[in-house]
Amino acid sequence: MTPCRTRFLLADDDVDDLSLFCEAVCGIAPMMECLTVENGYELFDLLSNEDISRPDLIFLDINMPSMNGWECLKKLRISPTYNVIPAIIYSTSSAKKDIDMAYNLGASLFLTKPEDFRELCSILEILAKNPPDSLLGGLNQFQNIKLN
Amino acid sequence: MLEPQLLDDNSLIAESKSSKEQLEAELADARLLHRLSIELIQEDGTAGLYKKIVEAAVALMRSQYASMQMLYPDPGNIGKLKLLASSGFSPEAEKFWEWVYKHTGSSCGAALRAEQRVVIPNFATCEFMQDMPTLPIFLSAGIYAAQSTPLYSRSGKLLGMISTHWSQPHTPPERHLNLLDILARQAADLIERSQTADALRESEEELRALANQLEEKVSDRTRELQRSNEDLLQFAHVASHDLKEPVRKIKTFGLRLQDALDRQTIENCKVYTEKILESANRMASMIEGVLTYSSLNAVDQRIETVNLNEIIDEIKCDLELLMQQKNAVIECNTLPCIEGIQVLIHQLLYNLVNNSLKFAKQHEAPVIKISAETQMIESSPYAKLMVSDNGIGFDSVHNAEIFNTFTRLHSKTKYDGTGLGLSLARKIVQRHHGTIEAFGEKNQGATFIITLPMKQPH
Repeated sequence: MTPCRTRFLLADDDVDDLSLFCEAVCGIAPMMECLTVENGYELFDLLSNEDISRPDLIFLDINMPSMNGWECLKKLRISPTYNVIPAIIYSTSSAKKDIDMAYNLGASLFLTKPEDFRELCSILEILAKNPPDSLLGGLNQFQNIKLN
Repeated sequence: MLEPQLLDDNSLIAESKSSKEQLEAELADARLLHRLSIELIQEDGTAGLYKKIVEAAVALMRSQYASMQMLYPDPGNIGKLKLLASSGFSPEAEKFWEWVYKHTGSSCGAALRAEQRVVIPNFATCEFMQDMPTLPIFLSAGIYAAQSTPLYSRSGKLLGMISTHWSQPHTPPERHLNLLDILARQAADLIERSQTADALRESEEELRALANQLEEKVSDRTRELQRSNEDLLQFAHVASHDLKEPVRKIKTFGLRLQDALDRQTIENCKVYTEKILESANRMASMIEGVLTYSSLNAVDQRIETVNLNEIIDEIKCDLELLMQQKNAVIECNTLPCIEGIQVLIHQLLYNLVNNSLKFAKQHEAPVIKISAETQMIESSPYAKLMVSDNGIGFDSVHNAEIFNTFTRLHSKTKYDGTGLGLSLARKIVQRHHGTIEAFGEKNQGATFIITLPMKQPH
């Protein structure tokens, strides 16, 4: 099955997580692209750059310097241009208050960063390959997926 | 035969007349005592009671002067007598006779020595008074006779003395002395009562002081408990969130290492091992930081005078290598001495200087300026310290949150650290009843203003 979402963007200040994420994304299929930024300001700089085509999915770490994940999420959801792009909170946290906060602010999904790289690969592959009208199908089996 | 009869009659009449007068006088004395007893019960102020007793003594003893004294026992010695009240004494005499010792040349001194009543019918002829320096004082004041009667408690303890003095040589009759003994009984009870009341008041005051002390201790303890409770909450937060991150990475790279070993793809193993060690180190330093943070309360709380100039010199020494690498300069004015806990003040300034070095611009040598001024806040002297740098600064919207634990304003990849340095600084300042503020501007450096009291409450 070919992926219908090929451009993933991760905003995270942790270089290890960025490189693991990119490795996982690029492992799904050859046409996959992974964009990375280290904080919210860089995220909006990148999104407003007309030379770069829009990502299909945005992943946001919570704890980032300058503009954190929550602020990014709020800005994305109130923007008429960007609110069509699904945003996923991607964090070490699995605290209920963070999960609630994510869905209250309009996140499409709360994903706790998996310990096992192979699990990360599986989750990202499902997200890439799910049909355009159903983002979350088939993710129930993963413990790190926190549904609303 | 008649004449003697008449004579006898006359003498009988005279006799019965004098015994009638005597009876009337005795009755009047008894009434005086009775009235006094009632007054003593009714009177509230002890000073007023003492005054009434000496006035009654003057009336009963037909004397011109009277005094009442209380015994202040000395350890290993009978003690000394203090004048409580007097009648007929001039203010100078009251002052002169305020304290009487057992060697004092007076009837009360002698009675204190003998521990029984002493009567001096005539000072001029009294044998033991002849060598006394007080003799001319009595005679020039016109005092020729005196008696002193000790006051005993019901348990037989000597409490004081009641004395009367006459302006002529005088031997008080037995009858008067008996009445005086009744008055002495009342006086002794009164002294005992006021001593008990004093003792009661004293022990009440002691109890109140003790209660206050206890209350203070309890509120100190409560504050301490609140502090350690906050620390526990903080620790729970750290354990549940911030420490999870390096643990997750250790697991992630551990699993990848295992996988690589299974597949015998050795080339990545070195990278994974390095990542695992990096995360473990990071975790160790975070745990270290949390421990330092929470053990702050347990630090030996000895407050001493801290010379801030010496502290800065020590810090320059501690950070010498890093400063050399970065070509850093510390410009420091003369700083004051303040009261504080030496190690904590050192840690505070160390963290700020270290912070400035850490967040220096890449292509500009760090210049850290430290200055101080003293100012009065609510009429207490405070030292206002300013630490400013020319580093990368931070957005001024973060002025307040910069002090929260594990708040990072800059990427941890470029700027390492646990996110605890400034939280620790704030905690130290709060410990010293001061305040710390941060002012930043992006790319314009940061300024920290610390206000600390010059004197700590002891």
